Amino acid sequence: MKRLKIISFYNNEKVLIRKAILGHPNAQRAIYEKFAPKMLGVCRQYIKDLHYAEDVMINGFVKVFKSLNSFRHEGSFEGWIRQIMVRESISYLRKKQFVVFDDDVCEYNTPNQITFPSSIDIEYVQRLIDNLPEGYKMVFVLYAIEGYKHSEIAEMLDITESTSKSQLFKARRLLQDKLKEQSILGYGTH
Amino acid sequence: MEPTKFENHIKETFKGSEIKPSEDAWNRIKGQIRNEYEPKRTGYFRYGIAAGFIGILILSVLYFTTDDATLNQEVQVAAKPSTPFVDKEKEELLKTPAPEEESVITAVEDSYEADEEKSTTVPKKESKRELVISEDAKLANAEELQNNASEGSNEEIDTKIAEVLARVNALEANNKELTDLEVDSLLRQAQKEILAQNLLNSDNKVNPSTLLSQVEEELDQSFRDQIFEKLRSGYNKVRTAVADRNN
Repeated sequence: MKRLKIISFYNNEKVLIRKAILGHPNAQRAIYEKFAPKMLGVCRQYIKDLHYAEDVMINGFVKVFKSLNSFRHEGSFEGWIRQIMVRESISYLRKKQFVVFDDDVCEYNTPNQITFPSSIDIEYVQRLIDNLPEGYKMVFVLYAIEGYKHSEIAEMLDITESTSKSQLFKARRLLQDKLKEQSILGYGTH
Repeated sequence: MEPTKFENHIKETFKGSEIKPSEDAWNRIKGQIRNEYEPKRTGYFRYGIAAGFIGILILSVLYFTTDDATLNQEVQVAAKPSTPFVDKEKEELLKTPAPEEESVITAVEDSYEADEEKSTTVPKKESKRELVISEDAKLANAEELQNNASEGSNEEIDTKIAEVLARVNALEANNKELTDLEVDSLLRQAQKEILAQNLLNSDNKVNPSTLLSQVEEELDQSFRDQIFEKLRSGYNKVRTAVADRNN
């Protein structure tokens, strides 16, 4: 029964995509309604300003509908859209802002265990990430939230793998320091 | 370098994060997608316009070329029956028809004139420049021929009048009363002979342009009438002069 439901949903999504390819406005709208809130969340992780994040999401959806033919139904449709949004966000940041990836050699020690509040506010974490330098932020989000490997990040950002690792290490340290400050001030110590 | 607990915690926090886009966002996407689809449609539309234009061009070319062909056919058809018709008319006149038949003859003449008008009006329908030029050339040729004919025909007319008079006198000498129609038929015959003479050049060679203009000339009723009138007036003058002298 469960399997039938999954097949039914899969078929429905396929039909939806086929109709969207043919230019049916309702199918396109349905795809947008289903994935837009999640994708705006993805774009917001990279872009501090929500309006710019929305602009990026809009461009991303335009690309999704334009290149819908190239979707091979091999992976998940949501994953495919998410990938487009991530690339669009990175492209925006690289165009609009001066992104620096410093290549200082770091010791990749495992950071000290940070005590983290169990009911952490998403807005608070987002603010912490927003305050990271753009290079650190991109690598951190790609690695920690999106789950990309360093080799993939290196290819996406056109940097070396060691640079990617270095950026992640620095991002962690900065976030650790921020959280320590906050815990001194009394936020979310556990 | 494995993700730390801290990173896993952040990942879990962001897992279900959603932000509702503004109302305008979909309209902006829709507008850009429509722009993407529209150029293809306008492309097809342009192809349609081009195809239509080519179609109209081909149709117009076909129309004008076929019009030429039909016009030429019409001219040929109009030219052909003129000779047998005139012969028939001449035969009818020589038969000295009864007064009732006179109206029939005039009706036939009227229809003949109408036919001639029809055939002469055909070139007026023609709008193509080439045909107009060729028509002008033909007319010029006919006019030239007419002028040449009128110069030489005065002498011929006089001789023909004399011939007609001689024949009339011969018939009257045999105590035959000639009607006006009979006299007219004789005069028409003389007119035919003059026209036939004019068709040939002074060297008695048949000129192709003359043959070409023959049709035009045959259709030129005014020229024929002119010769006929000259013959008639000359004949009347001679007749009255002879009558006066006898008196």
